[in-house]
Amino acid sequence: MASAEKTPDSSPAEHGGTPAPLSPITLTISEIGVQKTFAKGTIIVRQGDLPDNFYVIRQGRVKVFRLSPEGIRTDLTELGAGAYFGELAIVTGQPRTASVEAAEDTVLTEISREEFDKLLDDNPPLARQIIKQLTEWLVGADKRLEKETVHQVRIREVSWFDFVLIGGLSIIFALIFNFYNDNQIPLIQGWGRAETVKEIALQEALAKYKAGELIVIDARKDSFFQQKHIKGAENFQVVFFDLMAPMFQFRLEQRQATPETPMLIVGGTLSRRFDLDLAHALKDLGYENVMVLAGDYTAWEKAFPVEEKPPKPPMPMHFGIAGLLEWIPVAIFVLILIPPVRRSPYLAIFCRLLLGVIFIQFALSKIMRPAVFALNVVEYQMMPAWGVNLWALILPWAELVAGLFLILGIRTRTAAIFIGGMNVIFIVGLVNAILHQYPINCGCVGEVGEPVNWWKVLKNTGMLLMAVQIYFYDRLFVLDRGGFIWRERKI
Amino acid sequence: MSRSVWQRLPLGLVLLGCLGFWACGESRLPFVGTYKTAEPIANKGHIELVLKDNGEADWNWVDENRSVKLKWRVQDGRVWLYFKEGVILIGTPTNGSKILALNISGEWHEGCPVEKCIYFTRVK
Repeated sequence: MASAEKTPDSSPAEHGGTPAPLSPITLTISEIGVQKTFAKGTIIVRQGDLPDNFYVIRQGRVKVFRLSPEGIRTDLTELGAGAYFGELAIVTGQPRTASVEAAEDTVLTEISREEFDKLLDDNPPLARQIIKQLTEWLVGADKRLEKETVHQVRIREVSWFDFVLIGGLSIIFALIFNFYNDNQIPLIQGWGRAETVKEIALQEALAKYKAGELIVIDARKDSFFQQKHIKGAENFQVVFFDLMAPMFQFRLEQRQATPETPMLIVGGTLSRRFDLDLAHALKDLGYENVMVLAGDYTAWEKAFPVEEKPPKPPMPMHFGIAGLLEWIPVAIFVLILIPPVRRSPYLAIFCRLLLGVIFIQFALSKIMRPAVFALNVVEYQMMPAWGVNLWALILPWAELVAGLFLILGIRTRTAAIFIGGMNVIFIVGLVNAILHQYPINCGCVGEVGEPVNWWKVLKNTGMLLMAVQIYFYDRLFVLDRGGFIWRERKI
Repeated sequence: MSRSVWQRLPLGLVLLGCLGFWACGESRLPFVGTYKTAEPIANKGHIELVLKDNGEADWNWVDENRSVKLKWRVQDGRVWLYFKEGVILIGTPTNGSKILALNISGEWHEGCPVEKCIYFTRVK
């Protein structure tokens, strides 16, 4: 009764036999067991259960599958009429290592352990057939294990080429885009400018200031000036100079400044010499006697009498859906603390999509107008002057490329390292700005009005954890090297 | 199953296209025109602000014969002016966009802070 059929996939599981035709046995099998009918979708055998029965399919089809501890279902094979399953567990006495589900309404002959033992005793051909089948599975399983191991190793490989690929693409795109961008910026601010501005020693400048012989002009942005400035200083924001030059001239006229009046310009930072920029601009207007501090350009803060104000609380700003999206990493931050969830490859896919979208969104808010982002970078005061514009040009493209790689499943581990690295840099920058109480805009996703606070640090920490989760547990829907193979769930 | 990376290129392009569309701003047309400061600024005459429909803008000190190029766009119903130095000036339209209150602090504010506000009136 139970004729056998060949299936293309020899499964590694003990469930699901496809013996060659065994006419002497069929008579025997047809004489024992109980006929049972299972509706489509019914689980006939459950992985992990202790074995009691052996089954022969008389009509219909079944699916054999395994569930990993993370809940990933791997379909092993499908069996049709004439095939049998459940014999390996019966033979070994071990719990079922796979589940079997009725793929359609199915009729089975259920044979108990005792009946099966008797069947084997009475039918040496069937016993030989089962041994042969088990051997074939063992050999097949070894081959699949090797293939899978190679595949997993390829997925998990992180090579220098990947870093060069993402970094190189970011640099190339950034340079080409900047070349054609209407809002292009020089690669290095002030590069090649001849320094004709006089420098003055701190003590000499202080003596002249006390004697009322020089006008002090602060070149920094209004928020920094309001927070702390030399008493009596004027604030000419150099970033507004071209727009407001006549107004600045008027204010100098009010101070009865002449082209020969000594002027001390302050406002240099590690990231941009605002003082030098303004000094050059004033010289171009005809004010010849402009000076900047020699040596430590921040020394005025301790040497000169200053006026200080406590920093203003940042204005709230709403970002709509884009802003809400950024809050999800905080939830993920909590989710990742749960060990079974932490290891889930499905969580890795979710993290990839979310991080990808967030970083692409980050990138798009900066790419078009690099000068705005460069000014943000300057405000953090952590980047040397020569690196500000390069950073402002390349970082958004690195965010875009890494974000796209995460979404598309290309070199995801390397992309996660890139994004995690960027998160570390952002966290360091934010913490530094918070501790120094810099009155600055975050520059994270919007162009203005984003406060720098501990919540931003938490969000970035959440994103960092997401990148770490991707690095360790991402293995689904990725392109590996060796021919861009789409990783499927079915093996 | 093997798939070429080129098979995923359209997905990437569609994704970029969607994000590009998402990144686009609001229509500039309602604000295109010439604006002039209501009062002379710092005894140096009026400032004339010309907002063009192509996203470019001119900032002219009329009496000083001094002109600066800017870029502009509209976001959340407000006019954002971009200067090459990276600073952003945000103008809040009032009175049916006949008046533009321009915040020259360079910082974000919900409205226009009085001490850092220049009022422009639409003249064309």
